[in-house]
Amino acid sequence: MAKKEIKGSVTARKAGYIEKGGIKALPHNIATDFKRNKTIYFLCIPIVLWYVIFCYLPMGGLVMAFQRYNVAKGITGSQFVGFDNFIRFFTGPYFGRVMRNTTAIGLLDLVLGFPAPIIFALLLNEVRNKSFKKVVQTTSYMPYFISMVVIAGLIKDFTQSGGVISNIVASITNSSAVNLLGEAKYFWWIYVLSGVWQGFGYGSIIYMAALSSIDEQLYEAAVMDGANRWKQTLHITLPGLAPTITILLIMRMGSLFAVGSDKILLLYSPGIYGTADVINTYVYRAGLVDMDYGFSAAVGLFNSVIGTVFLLVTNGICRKYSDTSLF
Amino acid sequence: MKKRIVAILLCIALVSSVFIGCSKQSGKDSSTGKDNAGEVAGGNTTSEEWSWPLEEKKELSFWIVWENQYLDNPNELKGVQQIEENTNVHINWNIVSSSEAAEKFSLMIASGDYPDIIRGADEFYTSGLTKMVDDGVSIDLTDYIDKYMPNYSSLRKNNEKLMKDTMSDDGKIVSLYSIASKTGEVKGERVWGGPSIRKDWLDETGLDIPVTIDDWYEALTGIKAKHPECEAPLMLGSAATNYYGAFTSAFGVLPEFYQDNGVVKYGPAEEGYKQWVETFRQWYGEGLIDPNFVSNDASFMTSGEFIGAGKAAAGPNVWGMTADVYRQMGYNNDENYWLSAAPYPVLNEGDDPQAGAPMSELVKETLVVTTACEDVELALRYLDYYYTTESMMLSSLGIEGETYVDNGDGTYSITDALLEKVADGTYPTVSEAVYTHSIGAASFGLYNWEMYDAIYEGDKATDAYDVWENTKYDLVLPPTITMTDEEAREYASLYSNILTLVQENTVNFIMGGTSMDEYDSFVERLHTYGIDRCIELKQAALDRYNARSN
Repeated sequence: MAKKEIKGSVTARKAGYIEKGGIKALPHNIATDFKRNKTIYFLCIPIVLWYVIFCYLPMGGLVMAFQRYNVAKGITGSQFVGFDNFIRFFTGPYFGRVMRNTTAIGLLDLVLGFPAPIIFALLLNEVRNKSFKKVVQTTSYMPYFISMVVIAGLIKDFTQSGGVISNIVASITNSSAVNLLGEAKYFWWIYVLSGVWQGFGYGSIIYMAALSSIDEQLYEAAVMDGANRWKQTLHITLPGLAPTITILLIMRMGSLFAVGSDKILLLYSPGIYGTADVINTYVYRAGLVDMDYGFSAAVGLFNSVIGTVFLLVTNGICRKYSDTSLF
Repeated sequence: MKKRIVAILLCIALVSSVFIGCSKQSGKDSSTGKDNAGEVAGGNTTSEEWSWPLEEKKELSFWIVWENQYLDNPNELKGVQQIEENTNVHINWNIVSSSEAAEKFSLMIASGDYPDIIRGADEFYTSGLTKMVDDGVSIDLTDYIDKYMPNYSSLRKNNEKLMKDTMSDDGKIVSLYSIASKTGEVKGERVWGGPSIRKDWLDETGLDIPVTIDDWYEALTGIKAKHPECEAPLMLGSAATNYYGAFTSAFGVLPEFYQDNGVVKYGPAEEGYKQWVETFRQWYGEGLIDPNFVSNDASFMTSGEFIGAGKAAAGPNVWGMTADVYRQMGYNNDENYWLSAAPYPVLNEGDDPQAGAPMSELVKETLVVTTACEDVELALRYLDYYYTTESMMLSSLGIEGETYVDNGDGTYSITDALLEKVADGTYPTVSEAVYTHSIGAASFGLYNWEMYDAIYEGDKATDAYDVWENTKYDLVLPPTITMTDEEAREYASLYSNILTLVQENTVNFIMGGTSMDEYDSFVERLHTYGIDRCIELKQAALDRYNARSN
């Protein structure tokens, strides 16, 4: 959908198309467009196929959300149960809690995790020593490539009673070192801050790329006008980054609720379900008692709907107040 | 990390139990299957005379969860090769690793492309094996067993408990079970897991191996006083209990469902559980329990990094994990270091120790034959062969003369040649050396748990058996009780929330985060979350199990 509109806006002015013809003119326009851009259409076949096969066809599986899904019978033979799976999720005693935790972690992650790579990229951009810059950049990527299991192991070790972080926290709060992961109140912070640490270097790559495309002449002109470093950042660098930031923000909003279960599963324990239990982990545990695909499909669908709403709203806001938006 | 992996592998190898062949009596000439089914099988001409090996090679496909770091395929095991030679049936193994087993299983079922035989389907087909037959995945074996499986059916018929365990509530036979035996004699395994404690430290305090809860308190405080560096005197699972229900059972309850003379009860809703929570709350407050138990999670066995390296004094363990093993793994090189099994704790001296896990069950993993199997007779006859003594030995200790020798008095020993390979470092442990010859822990048919006596001959490992010897299983629910599909669905939707409630609260009561005054409201919530209905469902399943008969 998005692709077509963009393509349309670029080529609509050319002759041969029926402009303002509405839906009736669509077949004609498409045919014309196809004739003109055969090679381009040909080139995009693989990617279109990829989307159809891996993204659109599996959507048929959403039927599972309304079924008592039975693997042996498949989606055509399983018993239809209407909204049972959804009702079970919404009326469960822990629904409120997992929603709160998911929202809180998602938001905290957005507030702290989203600006971190931008700030890092800006700071790095100011560094003039090339080799220093390279070293910092490379080291900051590293955590991203460490397996989540290892990261979780590190976090566990550091936050245990006697662990490095645990001791630091103890000396700041002037108390004895406890197992931070055993205390419900610390979980959000441990989760989000470790995520920021792991992802900010890698996340900054795209901003670094955007920064390098800003015209040097702008800076030279600004210097002539007497702008200092701070003013240059404010009036040249940030506006230059704005489109990238907007697009990434919109995409991020879509996955706000999709707080992944793997890292939490590795870190949490029954004692801190109060703050650590999110939608995905809750569903995971429900599935351990009885592998219920219908139930997880229902929750997955709920997650996707929320994600889509967030994405559309953010996109709408961005389109209204800035020049950049996804579609 | 590597040590840890070795430890885990070893543990899996030890515990996930092995099965094999058939009773000594019926095994005189087991290669011909001692065809007592001939009489029963009247109508079928081919079944009257069945003799191994087949004249013409036939093939079967077999889905199995199997891992072996030395070999890629069970067909490379000499024990399996010998079985192929004896039967002339070639098996095409469909191997999956345990980490991806559930996913691969679902894919296989969804694809509709089944192998002939599936091992362990009960674990993954959650709506139950009866439903699996109804869904058209596996076949009802009721009418075939007597006809094609003389060894299996004679084992069943000679043991009433086995008879019950191997049938469904409505009297059908929907799967075959591995049967536990002591070298052929049908018998539940000895208690293979339970509490362990640092004996050398205990000796320093002058105390005996603890028996009662009070003894444990004394022992842990004593050790903590002598060894302040021991940061986690008692290790626990992340839900504060352990797999064996060792400490809760002293208070007459188990951490989850259990039976009290045929009446199903739920531990956390009972008074005994509250007493246990209070005891552990006090212990935790005094630093006797691992401050990081929620993340260390020693539910099944205590990690060598703790119990082996002097960071812990006691914790759950399996019998094979002795002081020698921890030394071998390099956690400890102190000569005095000694780990001993402790009996399951009791409240008062003289009480019967109770285990909370069904370790001594007669039946183990299941085998189902799928609807895709074209030659059901061949599949069942082949599987029946695994209930002979001959095959039992091939799948447990391997090849006579090559991996083990028969001492003539009913005991077996590992050959010197194989022991040398362990000594020169080809294999890190004897059990791993044996598992390069026999299918061992992933086997099926008649399981011979006594194989470990040969593997650990001369080792202190089997001492633990004697310590845990008197443990009873009065509280444990039979693992083969089943619910119907509808019941299972209702149970699952209620129980997943209850489990969350129980684990979270238990941990917080013990760690002191929640006041004990809240306990009554916690129990009340259990009732509002539907524990009574769950108990009802379990009770119905148990009643049906008890009423099973031919």
